[in-house]
Amino acid sequence: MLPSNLLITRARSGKIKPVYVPIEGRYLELASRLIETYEAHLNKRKGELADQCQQFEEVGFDFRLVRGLVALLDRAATFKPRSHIDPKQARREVFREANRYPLVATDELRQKVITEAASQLGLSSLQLEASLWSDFEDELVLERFVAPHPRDLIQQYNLSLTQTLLFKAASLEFMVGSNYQRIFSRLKHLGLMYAIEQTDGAYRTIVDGPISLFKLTERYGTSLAKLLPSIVEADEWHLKAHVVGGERQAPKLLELELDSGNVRDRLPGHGAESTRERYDSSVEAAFAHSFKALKLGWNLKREPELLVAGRYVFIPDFSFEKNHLKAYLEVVGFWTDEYLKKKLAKLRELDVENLLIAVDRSLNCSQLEKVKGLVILYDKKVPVKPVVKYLKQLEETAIVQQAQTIDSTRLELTGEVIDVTQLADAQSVSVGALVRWLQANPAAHYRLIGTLLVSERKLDTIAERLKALEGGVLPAALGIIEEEGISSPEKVLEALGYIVEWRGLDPDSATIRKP
Amino acid sequence: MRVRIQYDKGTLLIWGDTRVPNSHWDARSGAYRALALHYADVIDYLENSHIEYVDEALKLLPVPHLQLRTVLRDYQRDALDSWMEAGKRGTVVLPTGAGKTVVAVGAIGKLQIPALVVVPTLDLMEQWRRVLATEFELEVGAYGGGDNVLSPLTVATYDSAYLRAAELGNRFGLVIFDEVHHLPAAGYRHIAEMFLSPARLGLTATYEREDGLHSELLRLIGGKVYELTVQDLADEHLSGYEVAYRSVDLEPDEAEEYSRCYAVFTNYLARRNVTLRTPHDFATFIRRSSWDPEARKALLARNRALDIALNSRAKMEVLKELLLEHPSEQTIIFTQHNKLVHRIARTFLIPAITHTTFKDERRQILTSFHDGEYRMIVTSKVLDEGVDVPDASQAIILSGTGSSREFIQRLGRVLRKREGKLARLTEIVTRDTTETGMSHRRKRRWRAAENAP
Repeated sequence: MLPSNLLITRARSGKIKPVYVPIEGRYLELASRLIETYEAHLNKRKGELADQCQQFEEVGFDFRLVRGLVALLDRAATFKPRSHIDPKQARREVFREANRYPLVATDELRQKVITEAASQLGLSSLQLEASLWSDFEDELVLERFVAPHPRDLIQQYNLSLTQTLLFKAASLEFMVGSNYQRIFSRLKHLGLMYAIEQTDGAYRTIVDGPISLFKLTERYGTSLAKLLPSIVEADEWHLKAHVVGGERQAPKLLELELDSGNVRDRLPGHGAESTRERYDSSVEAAFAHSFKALKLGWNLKREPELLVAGRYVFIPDFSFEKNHLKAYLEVVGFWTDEYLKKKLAKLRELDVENLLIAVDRSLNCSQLEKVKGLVILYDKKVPVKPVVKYLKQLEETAIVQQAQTIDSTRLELTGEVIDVTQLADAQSVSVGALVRWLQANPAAHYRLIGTLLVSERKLDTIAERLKALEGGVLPAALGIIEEEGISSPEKVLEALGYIVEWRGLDPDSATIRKP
Repeated sequence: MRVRIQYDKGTLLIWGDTRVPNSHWDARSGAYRALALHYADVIDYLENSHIEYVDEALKLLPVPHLQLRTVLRDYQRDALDSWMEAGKRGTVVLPTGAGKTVVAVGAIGKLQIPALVVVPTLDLMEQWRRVLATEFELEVGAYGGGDNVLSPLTVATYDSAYLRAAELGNRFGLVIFDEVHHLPAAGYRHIAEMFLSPARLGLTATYEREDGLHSELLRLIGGKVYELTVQDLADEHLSGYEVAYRSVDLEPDEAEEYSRCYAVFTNYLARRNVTLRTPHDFATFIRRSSWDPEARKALLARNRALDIALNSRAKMEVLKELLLEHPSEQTIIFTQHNKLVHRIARTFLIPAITHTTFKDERRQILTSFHDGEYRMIVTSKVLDEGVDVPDASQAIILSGTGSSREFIQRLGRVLRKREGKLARLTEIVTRDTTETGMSHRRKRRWRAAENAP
């Protein structure tokens, strides 16, 4: 964020935009040169450095841009006084000495005072003079500077520019493709309020504060500016803000609209943060770890989306996804009464299918009865078992339901080997459901092997070739089946009634035979 | 259903399907909402309409008995009575040095409720803390300059009160705004709106603002309930004083540079047909200068010209003369810019206080000044306001703005009453420059009071 007098914007017919610096050409050059200037002034006075930087204002760059970049560079720099003695103590001694005279009106008297004070402090006059004002801003010395990459400096500048413009924002609305939890926890932490509107399946969040109801106020501008980084971190985002412009007597509302699609490279690396998973508690982390280890084919997602519950938004801790099936898990850990009440109120209003709620047993929560969804009580650890059981049931129910919807007239059975997965996609059902159906309604001239339909003719061919195989060595047998265009040969062996005889662990020495 | 009132981040939430005056339906919360400012009115309304309600909004800390030790002077008592009669709302206008603080302390002693004092600077914060702690013998809380302590009696800077209004707004029955002329600024007025405190007291030596925004005070804390000027109190309660004027000439090279720069500025105004009469005109010009290179050049030239006039070399000579003429007076030298403060500090080895001076050094300098260890202080604007500068008898205005308030405040710095004291304020002004106009303007309100019957 920058001082507001350094803000550069373009306003036209009710719209306002920060003027972003492109990461190219003379701007990249300016950023590099300023960074070099800082590096060249290590161990030199701040006043001197400032004078050098000011020169860039006189070579055709907007002074606001130069000063804005300098303000950011100052944050990467450490300035310290260089002094033989605490400068305050030095001044105190000098002023006290000076006060013995009506006025230090001549150079001679001044020198006398300095010499006297210096000897009191055990310094030379020169050392004292060098220390006397060393903590004044211009006299500070650049002690450390962490040089940013010029590209990062410009991106940071563009972000700061946007934040500075938001200082004067009365409200902000946004749509994002990820990063919900972080945005909403920031939002809350900043004391902002929100309302959510749904348009075309997307949620638009409108943010302002309690007193926005009564007056056009810039009071929440700073908080809105602080919210911005969490929004632009999302992989996709769109935002609109109403910025108070014009004159004080006649304020005007200007619209600021930004979209990740247009300003992608101009702002600091978004997405980087949000792809990393964040856990609020170890309970959640432990659950995710054990669940993933089971490799059940369910895609586990952390804080996957917004669910709207009456006046509230609700961001479930986890979602499970598989074949168009979706379930949610919310972990209710130990918290304050107030928090729990709110959470339960939200859960009660939530109208969502397949919600699992894991509640810490010590909460002893009677109000849970009114909540729609399966409640799992836990101590210390959220158990994986009941969740897996629930998901399996869910899958089973879906399979049974979907199997009833399969239209046999639309099953196109052509070719020697058919992938059931593709057939299932064509019918918009899960593979499991179609396999189940095929077991009950076998396809003529085909056999169902795993998730493949293999023609009887093909199986005969394979059987013939296997019979002719000398020694019945396993790798050779598998090779034959693969040659016939089947990617999972072990299941075919099994279907043809072979068993594998292992001698040790080496597949090369294993053989096949019929029992 | 009974009505329930809660405090929520600077507002009141009114639950129970009852609309009260000044409230709006808030769909986000499912309740009516009103600015905390209207708390007293909301309660009055519910009482008068015989509506049952539960007040969960006001959360006052328990206060020990606040024993008033100071005896109020007659005019301080009159001021307090007027404020009480006005419904514990409104502003008391008293000149610097007349003991505004005592009126506030009197109000706290009378109401016996938790009170917050809002002040513009960290120095004032420290000063009020000391005053309240001594008066009532208790720990005084503070918000500002790194302190975050809540107590029944608390002092906060305007900035901290603004930032924390949402969390502190229901903790005090009384809010006192010191230097209340700051309150109507667009941001700060939120403090008055977000605090529910029914009792509100404003204090200032200079009620009117040049931008006219003091009219806002009526809504925020109530109107002017009592006023006295320097002249009303001079000699009896404040020190007698004289105001002197010394003019100096630019040296030839300065004069040449001044004319050249000033011409760049006036030529621009003439060419663009711009008039700069009001603060608003000037703000427009500044805004223009941020994108129009011509305007920026004109602005920089004007600043340079003003710089020459305000910091002319001859001023330093006159300053030297004045300081040598009155070698025993405790003297404060005021300037417009820090640059000149530092030049004087370095040349004459006089202790300096600017807004960058650290708290501990500032305190040390003021203490040494009080004890006579230092006889002079040079400062820019930081000592203009409020802080009790210990008994100075001479003020020298080396440069300043055209503001009436600034002049009255600077004069106030030397008016503390002492037997046999005659305070002296001297302005040093560069002849034939825009500074003469500024000097004239800054004295107009003081002059008006001087000429009043």
